[in-house]
Amino acid sequence: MLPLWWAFVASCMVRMRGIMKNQTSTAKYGKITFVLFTLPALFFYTMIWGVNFVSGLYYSLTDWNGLTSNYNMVGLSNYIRIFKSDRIFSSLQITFQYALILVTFTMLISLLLALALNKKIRALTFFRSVFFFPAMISLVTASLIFDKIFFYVLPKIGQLLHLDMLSNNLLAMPDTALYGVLIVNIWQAVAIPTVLFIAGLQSVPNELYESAALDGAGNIKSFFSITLPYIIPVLSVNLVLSFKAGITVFDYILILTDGGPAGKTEVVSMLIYSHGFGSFRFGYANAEAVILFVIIAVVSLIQITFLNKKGVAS
Amino acid sequence: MIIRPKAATLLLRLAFLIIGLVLVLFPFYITVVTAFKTPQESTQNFFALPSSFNLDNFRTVIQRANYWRFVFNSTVISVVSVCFIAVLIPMASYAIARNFNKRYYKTLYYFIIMGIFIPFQVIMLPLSISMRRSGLNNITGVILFYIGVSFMKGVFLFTNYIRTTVPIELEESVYIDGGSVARAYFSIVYPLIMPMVATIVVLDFLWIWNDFMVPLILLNRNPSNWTLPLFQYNFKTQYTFEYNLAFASYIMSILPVLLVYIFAQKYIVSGLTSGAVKS
Repeated sequence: MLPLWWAFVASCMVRMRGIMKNQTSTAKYGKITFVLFTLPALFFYTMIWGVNFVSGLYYSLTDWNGLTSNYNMVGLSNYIRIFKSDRIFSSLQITFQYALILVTFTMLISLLLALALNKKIRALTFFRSVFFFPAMISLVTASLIFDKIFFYVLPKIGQLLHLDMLSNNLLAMPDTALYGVLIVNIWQAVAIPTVLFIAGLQSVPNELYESAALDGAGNIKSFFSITLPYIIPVLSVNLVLSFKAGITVFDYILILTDGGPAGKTEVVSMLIYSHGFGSFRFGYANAEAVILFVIIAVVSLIQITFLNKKGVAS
Repeated sequence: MIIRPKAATLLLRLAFLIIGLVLVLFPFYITVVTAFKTPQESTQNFFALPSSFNLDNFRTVIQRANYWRFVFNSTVISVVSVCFIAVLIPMASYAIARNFNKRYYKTLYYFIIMGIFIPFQVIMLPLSISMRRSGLNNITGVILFYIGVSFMKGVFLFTNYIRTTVPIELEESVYIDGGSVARAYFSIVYPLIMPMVATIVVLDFLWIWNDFMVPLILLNRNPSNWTLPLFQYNFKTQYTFEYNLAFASYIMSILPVLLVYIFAQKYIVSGLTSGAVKS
């Protein structure tokens, strides 16, 4: 879903940890009204997530092609076939490679931007507004703009600067296609962590820096001893969100490379999509989706452990 | 000349910010200048500003496809979903927040929150089947989907928000006067949680307006149901060589978002950061 949303939820998680534990209030009135209030939530949520999640698990045990009216239960054979084929492993490798590069660069760039913006700069609001804007536009638009830039603009710049390196379309070359997609993704993904980092940095008491400066600590030393402990909660939120976004990446790949060239950008979601809708291996694709779910569940559990670890700020 | 360390770091920071600014703005610059140029003009000098304020590309984009239809679809989907979201989520969250010691509400809460663990790709295939079977692979189905999904994050946020910001004594005063739960909710609670409603409305609107995957799964077969992102995706190949038209169509999809951003920035950026920093 929209990364903005996730960032918002996660940042509220940081703030609201532990609140649900102390239940104090009990309503003695209007039992029926309260139940009525929850019925739409129960209905919509069950219909959309509950039913589809359970039927996904069920379909993963069948050989259904998604079209015919009859199919057979085949037990775990979809899963066995998936793990016997090399495709899922090479796909997982690409996915994790993608996620790691995405996380590394997004964190590095956004932290540096936030540090550069942190101390009193008159144009802070201006810079922040501009840096945040890429997160606002749809990733379809962003991808298409960059698609055109890779196709027309970079080779033109290469000509002007006499750089042969830029003369090829990044997305068309098997060796560089993944990096081309990553450039677009990073361009959009840096915005939210930057804003969150700025907020985290501004929670550090200024006196700490002053006393550190009096003690003769340099910039780098005061970053590691003062700043870092304060922004660890924000950092862990950003890390996990970014990693999750990387592992479930789909839209960018579909629009920019469609899994190609030569399968070099075939991430797991792409595999699910093309098996499920393209080659009519519906049951098989569902089994792949369940595997992705297990990976995400593990990542999310790590996320909760991370979020429950208390940084200095809490 | 000796540069003092302080000046050096300031210079470094400024350099970094300006490089960042250029990298962020460069794609937009290309988009704007190309959208206003004719193909001939672009061939002469790709990077220069356009010589005139030429709107022909925009006209062609609108004429060639059923453009207003896509704008209409996107608007209907976003606005209707957001209206339902603004009513249904606070209601459910209020009931959960005030009855969290009861098993039904607690189970419901965790049932809904559990969805955070399930990525869309996992329910994408079954969703396409169940929606097709019930004849909902159309705009109504997409709206229902957005409402259903929005509970996941919405209930989490509102339940906690109501528990922390709305004092229960206020509602009790309504009950003492003989008022009902519904009255307490609509006259006391809802006005108090308006700031959160505004944030959720803006975030959900942007998410739904920009969303690509759900329309792709449910609406792609029937061009009269396309949303703006789907239109852009499907016209990708058609615009391969007519890049002036392509960039004009990108501007048209960025403009509404830019307007929302300018007017609702308060709710977006500060909503985001107020959550990140412990108050």
